[in-house]
Amino acid sequence: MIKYILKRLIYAIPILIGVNLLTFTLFFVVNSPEEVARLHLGNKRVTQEQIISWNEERGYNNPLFYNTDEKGLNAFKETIFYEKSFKLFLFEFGLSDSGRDIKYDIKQRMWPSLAIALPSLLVGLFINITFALFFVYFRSTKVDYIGVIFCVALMSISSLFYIIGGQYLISKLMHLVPISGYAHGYEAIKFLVLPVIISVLYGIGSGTRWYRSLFLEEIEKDYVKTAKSKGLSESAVLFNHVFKNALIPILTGIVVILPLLFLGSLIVESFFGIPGLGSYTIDAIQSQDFAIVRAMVFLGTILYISGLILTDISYTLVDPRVRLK
Amino acid sequence: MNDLLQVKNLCLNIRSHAEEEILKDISFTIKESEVVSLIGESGSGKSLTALSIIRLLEASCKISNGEVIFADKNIFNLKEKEMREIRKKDISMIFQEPMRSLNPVMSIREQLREAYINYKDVNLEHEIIKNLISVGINDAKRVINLYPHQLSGGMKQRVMIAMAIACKPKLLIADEPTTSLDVTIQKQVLDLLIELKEKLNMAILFITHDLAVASQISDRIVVMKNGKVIENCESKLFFQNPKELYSKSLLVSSKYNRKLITNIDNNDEDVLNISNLKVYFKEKNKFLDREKSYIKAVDDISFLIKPSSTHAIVGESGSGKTTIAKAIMGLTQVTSGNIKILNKDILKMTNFEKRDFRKHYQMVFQDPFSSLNPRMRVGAIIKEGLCFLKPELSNTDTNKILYDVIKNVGLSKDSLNKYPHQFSGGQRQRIAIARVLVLEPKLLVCDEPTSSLDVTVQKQVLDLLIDIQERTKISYLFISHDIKLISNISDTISVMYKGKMVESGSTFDIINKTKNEYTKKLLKSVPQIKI
Amino acid sequence: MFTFLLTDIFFYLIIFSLCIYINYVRKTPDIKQTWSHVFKNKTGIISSVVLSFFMLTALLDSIHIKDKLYNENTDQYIYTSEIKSLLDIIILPIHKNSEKSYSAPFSSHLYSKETIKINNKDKRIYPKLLHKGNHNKFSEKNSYNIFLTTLFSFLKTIFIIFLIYVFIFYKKIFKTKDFFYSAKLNKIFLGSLFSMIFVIMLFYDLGSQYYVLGTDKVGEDVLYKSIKSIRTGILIGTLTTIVMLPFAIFLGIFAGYIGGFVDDIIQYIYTTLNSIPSVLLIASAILMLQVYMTNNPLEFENIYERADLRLFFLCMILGLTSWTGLCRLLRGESMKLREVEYVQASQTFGLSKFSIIVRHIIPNIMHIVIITVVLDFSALVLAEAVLSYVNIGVDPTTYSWGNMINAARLEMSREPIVWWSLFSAFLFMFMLVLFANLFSDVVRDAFDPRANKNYE
Repeated sequence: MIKYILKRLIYAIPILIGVNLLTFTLFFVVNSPEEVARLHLGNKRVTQEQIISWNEERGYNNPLFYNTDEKGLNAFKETIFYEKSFKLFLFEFGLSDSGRDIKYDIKQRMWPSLAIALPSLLVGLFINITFALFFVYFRSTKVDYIGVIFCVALMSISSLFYIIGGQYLISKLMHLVPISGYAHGYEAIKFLVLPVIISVLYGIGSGTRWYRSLFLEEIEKDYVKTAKSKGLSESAVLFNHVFKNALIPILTGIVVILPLLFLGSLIVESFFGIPGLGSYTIDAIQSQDFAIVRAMVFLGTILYISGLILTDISYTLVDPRVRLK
Repeated sequence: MNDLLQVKNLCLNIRSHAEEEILKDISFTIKESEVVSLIGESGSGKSLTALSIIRLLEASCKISNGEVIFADKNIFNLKEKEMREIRKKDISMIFQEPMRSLNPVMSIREQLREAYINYKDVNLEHEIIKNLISVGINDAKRVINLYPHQLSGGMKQRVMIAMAIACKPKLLIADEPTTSLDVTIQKQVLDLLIELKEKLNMAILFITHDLAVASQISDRIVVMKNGKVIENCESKLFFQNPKELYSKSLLVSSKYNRKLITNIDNNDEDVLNISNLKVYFKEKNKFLDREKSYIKAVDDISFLIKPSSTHAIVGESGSGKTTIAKAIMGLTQVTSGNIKILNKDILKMTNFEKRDFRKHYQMVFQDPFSSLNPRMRVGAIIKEGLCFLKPELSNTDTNKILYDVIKNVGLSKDSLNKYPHQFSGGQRQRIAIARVLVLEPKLLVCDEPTSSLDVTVQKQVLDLLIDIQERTKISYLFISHDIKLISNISDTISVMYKGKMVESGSTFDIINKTKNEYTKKLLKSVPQIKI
Repeated sequence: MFTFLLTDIFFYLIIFSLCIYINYVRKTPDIKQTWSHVFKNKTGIISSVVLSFFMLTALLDSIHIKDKLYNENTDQYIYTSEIKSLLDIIILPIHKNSEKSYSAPFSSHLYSKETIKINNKDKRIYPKLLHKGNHNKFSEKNSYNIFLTTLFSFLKTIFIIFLIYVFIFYKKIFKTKDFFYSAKLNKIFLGSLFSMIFVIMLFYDLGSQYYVLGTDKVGEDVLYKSIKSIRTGILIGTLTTIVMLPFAIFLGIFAGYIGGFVDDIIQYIYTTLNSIPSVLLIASAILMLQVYMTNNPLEFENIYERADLRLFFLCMILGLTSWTGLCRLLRGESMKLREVEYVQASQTFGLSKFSIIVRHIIPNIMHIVIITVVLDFSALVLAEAVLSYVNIGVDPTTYSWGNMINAARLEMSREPIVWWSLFSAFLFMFMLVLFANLFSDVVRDAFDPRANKNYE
C-alpha cells in the first residue's frame, strides 16, 4: 500500500512540472514583466525608471531562465523561473505583488473556506441522495417525472440568482442572518448558515439527477433481479443492494473533490464577504495580482492531484473487486 | 400428482406498443416435482414467461390477459407483500449469467443470508455451509468469505443454486442456467440440478434453447415460438416423434450431421502450415513487481491444413483457440514460430507484400452483431475488402461480383442498400461470409461462426459454408467449443487446453479412439439427446 | 454596407455546418431514425422550437451593417464606425430612444424624483418619460390599452399561424406527415410555434409603447439589452464547442486507437490541463489577454471589434480548457472500438489506420460528440454569467446577461430596489438554459445506448 502511494506520488511529479511550465509561459513569456508593470502603473506617462523599480521591488527584474551575470549554480538561481516557479515546489509562494506574504494569507484563509465548503458538501450530499432514492423508489411514476423536471428547472438557474435572491429574501426582507461578513469562533455560524443553504440549494438540481441516474443504472442490473427473487422488499433491495453498489462511484466522486474544498467557492465567498481562499482568488483576479493567481493555480493543482490519489486509495478500501486483487 | 403451477392464457405486451402482443395465449401446467422444459429460440418469449410467473417483469411490460395459478392462488391478484412471501418460500429463480446475477460488493455469506430471511436460527452459519456443501462446494468455509469476482463461473452458478434452494422451494425456475458455462462445467451443473431435484422433491421450470440439455433433465417439453406455445408433450414422446413441423426442424438441427465427402490429396501443398507457434502476453505488471510474468495464451502449437479440407480447433474458453486465429490474421503479436500460408511465411512478409497476399486468407468472426459496422450499408461493407485488396477491378466488375456473391449466400439484391440492423443474426452472418467470399480466399478462418445463432439458423449457415467449400475448394480453419458439431464437418481436429495442444488427428480417430483424458472428458460432457 | 465581425464569421460557419449535418442526417436512415426519437417526443418538439427562435435571434443579430453618412465637407459618403445588426433594424421601435435613468416596467415616469423648475419654483417630482409610456395607441387608460394591444398581437399571431398551417400542413409542402408522426405531435408543434410567435409579437407591440421591462441606469431599454444578450449567450455556448471539437476528436481517437507512446503523451497533456482548477486556468489566460490588449490598444480598430475579439478569445480559452473531458470519453470509446470485430475485420483487409479511423471509428463515436455538444451548451451559457461577474468574462461594453447581473448587484441594494434588470436577465437566461437542458435530455436519451428509456 505504501509502495503504491509512493508510486502515485512519483507519477504526480511530471504533471506538476507541466502545470508549472504552463503557468510560467502564460505569465512571463506571453507578456513580458515589463508589460505587466506597465499595466499596473497605468499606461500613460510611465517612465522606464518606474517600471524598473516596480519590477525590482517584486523580483521580476531577473532574466527568465539563465542569468549571464552570475556564475555557477547562481546563473540558474538568480532567474525568474527559479524564484517564481521552481520555488513553488518548495511551497515557497513568496510575496504578492502588493507585498503580502502569500503563504501566511493562505494559512489564514483556508479555514473559513473549509467552514463553508465542508458543511455544504455534507448537507448537500445527504439531501441529494435522499431525494434521489425517493425518486428511484417511485421510478416510472408521475412523482419521478415531475421530480426530474423540477431538478432540470433548478439546475437551469444561474448560481448568481440563488445568491442574490437568497441574500435579498433571507437577509434583507426577513432579517434572519447578516447579509455578509465573518467572525471567528462560534460567532461564525450565523454568517455561515446562509451561504451553506444557498450552496446546497444550488446543488440540488444537478446532484439529485446525477445520483438518480447512478441508482437507475444499478437498478437495471441482473443482481437486483436475483435479490428480488429472494423475496426481499423494494426498500431492502434499494438500500442493501442498489445503494451499496452505487456508493462506490458516489464515495470516490466525493473523495476527489475533498482536498479542493480548501480552495472554497469563488462567488459564494465573495458575495458573502467570507475571508476564504475563494474571495482571495477573486480579489487577486480583480486587482490583477498575478503572484497570488500563480500561487493559487499551483496550490489548486496539488490539491486536485492529491484528490486523485485519495480516490484511488478509497477505491481499494470500498470496492472488494479492487481491494482483493 | 397435483398441479403445482398452472399458466392459463397468459398474454403480455410492451406498454409503448400495446397493439403487438409479445406473449400470445400461453398455457401449460407443472405438476409437483415435475421438470418442465421451455424450449425456444431467441425472441420466442420463454424468459418473459418465466419472469411473469415470479412477477419480476420490467415496468415496460404489461400482462394484458390470463392468470398464473400457484397453490390455488392467482399470482396476479396477490399483493406485492404476499408475492414476496411466495418468492421467499415457494418459488426461486436462477439466471443465465452467474457473473452478473451476484452482487459484486457483497460477500457470499451476506448474499446467502438474505435467502434465509425466514430463519431466525442461531446456526445460520452452519446452515449456509451445509447448503454450500450440498451444491458441491466442498471448501464452503472458505468460500462464504469470498466475493463473487473471486469465484469461477461454475462456482458462481453453484452459489446461485444454493441461494435458490435455501428455502427449499416447491418450484425452481432456471433460466438458461448452463448456457454461459463451458461444456464440462455445464455437465456438472446439470447433474447437480438433477440430483437436487431428486433430493428436495421440487419442481423445475427449465428454460433452454438446447434440446440436448433439455432431454437430459425434463419430464415434459413445452416448445415456444414467437410468443406462442407450439407443442406441449411428454419428454419421451417428444424426442421420439415430435408432432409439429417446427419441433421436427429443431430436432433435426440439433442433431446436425453432415459428413462431407472430401478427397484430400496428400501431395498438394499445404494451405496453412503452423509450426511451433507461441503467443505470450505480458501480464500487466503489478505494483512495483520487477519480474515480468507472461500469460502463455498459445504455447507451441503446430498443425497443417490441406486444400479444400476443414481443420477444427476445439477447446473451452480460455484455451487460446481464438488467439491462434488472431495470430494468423495478424491481429496479435506472435512471440515465436512460423505461420506459412500457401508455402509463404506471412510473419516474414513486409507490409507491402502482405497487402497483395491478404486476399488469400480471410476470417469470419463470432458475433454477427458486432462484426458489421452499423453505420455502413451492406453493399459498402462487402465492397470494402474488394476495393482495397483488388483495386484493379472496374466499377462494373465490382458490382457484378457483389450481385453474384449476395445471391450465393442466399440474400436478395436489394439487401445491398440496407443497413445491418435491418437483418437477423443469421442473415448478418451471411453478409459477413459474403464480405470475405468476394476476395476468393484459399483459407477461411471461422471463429465460432455459429455459436451466437439459434439452432435452426446455425444449421443453415453451416450448410452454406459446406456448400461453398464444395463449389470453391476453399479450406476452413474452424474454431469451436462444440466438439459434437465440429465432428460432423471437419476432416481433422486439434483439441486445445490452456494454450497447449492436447491432441491432434483425424476426426474419426479423435472421436472414436482417443486415449487422452481431457478429450474423453470433453466428449463425455457434450450433452446428447437422450431418448 | 455589410460588415463582418470575427465571431459573425464563425457563427455563420456553425450555422452552415449545422445545415450540412441536417442534410447528412436526412440522407442517412439510421441516424435519421435516432433523431426521429427526439421529434417523437413532446419535450423534444417544444424545446427545439424554442431553441430555434433563440438561434434565429442570434443569427439576425450576427448580420452586421455599417451606416453610410453623407459628409458635406468632402462631398463623399463615409461609413460610420457604429455597427448595427439586422436585429437592431427590425426591433428599432423598441430601442431607438432612451431615457435619462431608471424607470419601472410599464411606468410613465422616471423612478426617482428630480428637481425641476416649474413656474420658477423648484419642485421635486417624478419626471415624465420622454419617449414611451405616454404614447398609448388604443386608449388613454393604461390597463385598457395593454389589454387591447395584447388582443391585437393575439389576432396577428393567429393570422400568421393560419398562414403557416396552410402553407405547411394543408399543401403538405414539407411532407410533414412523415416528420411529426402523429396529429398530437403536430398540434404540439403548432402550439409551441404559436406561443413563441405570440410572445415575440407581444414584446414588439408592447415594447414600442412601453418599457416593458423598464430602463436601466442610463435609461436604456432593459428588454432590448436582454434580447441583445441572446447572441452572446448562444455564441459562447456554440463557438466554444466548435473550437474544442477538433482537438477533442482527433486527440481522443489517436490516443485510443493508436495507443502506445502517442496515448501516453496525449494522456499527459490532458491530465495536466485537467489538474488546474478550470476557473483559475481561464482566469490566468484572460488576465494575460487583458494585459496584451491594454498594452497594444492600436491593434483594435474600434470598441466593437475590441469587444468582439474579447468574446472570441473568451470562447477560445473556454474551448481550450474544456476539451479534456470529451477527449477522455472518446479515447475510451476508441479503445473499445479497436477491439470490436468490424474494426478487426477491416484490419484483416489490411486497411490503413487512417482509413479505419475515417470509415469505422469516427462514424461510431459521433453520438458521444453530439451528446457532449448539447450537454455543454447550457453549462457554458451559465458559465458566462459567473465569469462576467468575476470580471474575466466578456467585455463590459458587450451586452450579456452576466454584465446585467453584475450591474444588478448595486441596483438590488438601492432603496427602493431596482429589480427589473435582474429579473429580465433571469427570465431570458432561464428560458434558454431550461430548454437547452430539456433538449439535451431528449437528445441523450435518443443517442445514448445506455440511457434509460422508461419514459415514452
